[in-house]
Amino acid sequence: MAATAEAPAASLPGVWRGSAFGLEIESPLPLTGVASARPGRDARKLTLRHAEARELERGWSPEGTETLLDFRFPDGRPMMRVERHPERGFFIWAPRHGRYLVAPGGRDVRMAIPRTGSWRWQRLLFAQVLPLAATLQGLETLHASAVALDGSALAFLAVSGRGKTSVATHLVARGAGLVTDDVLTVEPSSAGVLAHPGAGLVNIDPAELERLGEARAGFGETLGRSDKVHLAVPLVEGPRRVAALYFLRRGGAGKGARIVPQEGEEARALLGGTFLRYLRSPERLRTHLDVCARLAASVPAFDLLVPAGTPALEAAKAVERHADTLPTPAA
Amino acid sequence: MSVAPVPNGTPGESVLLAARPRVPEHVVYRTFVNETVVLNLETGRYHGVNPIGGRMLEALERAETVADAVGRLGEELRDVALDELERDVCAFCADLLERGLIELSPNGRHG
Repeated sequence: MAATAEAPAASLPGVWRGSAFGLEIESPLPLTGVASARPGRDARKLTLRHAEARELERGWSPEGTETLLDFRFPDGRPMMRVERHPERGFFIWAPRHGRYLVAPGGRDVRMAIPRTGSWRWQRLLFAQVLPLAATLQGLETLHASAVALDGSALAFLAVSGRGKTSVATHLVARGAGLVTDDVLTVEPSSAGVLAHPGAGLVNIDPAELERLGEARAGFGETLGRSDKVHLAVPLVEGPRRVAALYFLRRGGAGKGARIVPQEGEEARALLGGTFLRYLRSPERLRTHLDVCARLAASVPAFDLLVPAGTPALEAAKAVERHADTLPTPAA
Repeated sequence: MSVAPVPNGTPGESVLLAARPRVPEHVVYRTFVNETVVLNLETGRYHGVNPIGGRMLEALERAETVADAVGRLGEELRDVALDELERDVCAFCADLLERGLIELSPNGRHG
C-alpha cells in the first residue's frame, strides 16, 4: 500500500470507554459524539490501541492480501482503501484520515491516526472501522440514517447522495432524537429488531445546513469542513426498537413527498441496503439474510418518494405525519 | 449429485421423481412477503423464487423423494392437475440442481 508517513497524535494517559454501533469500546482517546459506556450493556467489546503508521505498514505486506475497496478521486488520487488478509485481518487507510488494522474477529483495532483535526480520523473510524468491527462480531449494518420518535427508531435507507442525512437532520431539528447518520447497526432481539446508536458525527451538505435556519443553533459545534460540514450532534441513549423502514427514492412525478407501502421488492431492497458489501464470509451472509428476513417479517417498510426539487424539510414533515399512523408495538 | 444424468445432462423426470432431495448445508433460504430468497453460501449468490417455488422448496426439503413432495403439494394445491404439478416440480428441481441449490440421491438414499 502506498503511504506517506503520518505522525501519530499525542497519546493521552488512561482509557476512555464508550458505546457505539452495539459495541463497548475502550479507546486511548475520547470519541466525539459517542456515549460513555455503561459497563455490561453491550456484550460485544472492542479495544482501540495506538500504533505507529510505519509499524502497521511493515506488518502488512501485499502478499496474501485481497483489495476489497479502492475508492479514488476523479483525478486518480486514492480516497480510501480496504484490504484483507485471512490471518491478519483488515487494513483500512485513507489519506489524512489514518490507518487502522482490524483483527479478524473485530475485537481489536490498532490505529495510527494523524495530527490533523480529530474529526478526520474519527470520520473514517465511524464510517468504516467501527461498522466493520460490529459486523465481524455478528451484528448487521445497513446503509441508513435513523432517528428516534416516540421512543422507537425510524430508519431511512438509500445509497449515498439520496438525502438520508438531510431528512434525518430536519427531523432532529423538529424534535426527534438522532440514532445514527449513514450507518445503522441492527440486532434482532425478543423486543423486535433493535437499532443501536452510532456516532454523533453528522456529515451534512452545507446548503441543507443553511436551510435549517434558526434550528441550526440546536445542533452541536462544527468540527470541520470538507465537501460536507461535519457536526457534533447528540445521540439518543441506548438501542431503540425499529418501528419503520423508509426506502428513500428521489425523482418521480407529482408534487411533494409521498409515502407508500413497499410492495414486491422488499427482499431485494433490504438485501441491497447492506452497508458492508465486501464482507462475504458464509457466517456474515447467513446473518445478513436472517436479519433481513426478520426485518421484513416484523417491521413495516415504505417507499419515501421525493420528487426533484422537493425540500428535505417537506419529506421530514411527511415522515412525521406518517409515523403517527404506525402501529403501536405490543406491550 | 449422484443421480445418473440422462444424455442432455438433466435427469429424466422418472429419475427425478424417484430421487431423494436434500438442501445442502451451504444453502440457506428465508421466506419474505413476496418471495423466498435462496442463498448459496459458497458462491455468495442470492436466488429469488416466487411463493409457489418457496413452497416447493419447503416440500422438497421435508420429503423422502421428489414424488413425495409432489404428493404433499398436490394436497395443498388441489386446483392444479397432478401431472402438471409433477412437471413443474421436476422442472424446478432441475433448475435448483443446475444452480447447486439442491442435491439428489437415487432411490431415496444420500451418497
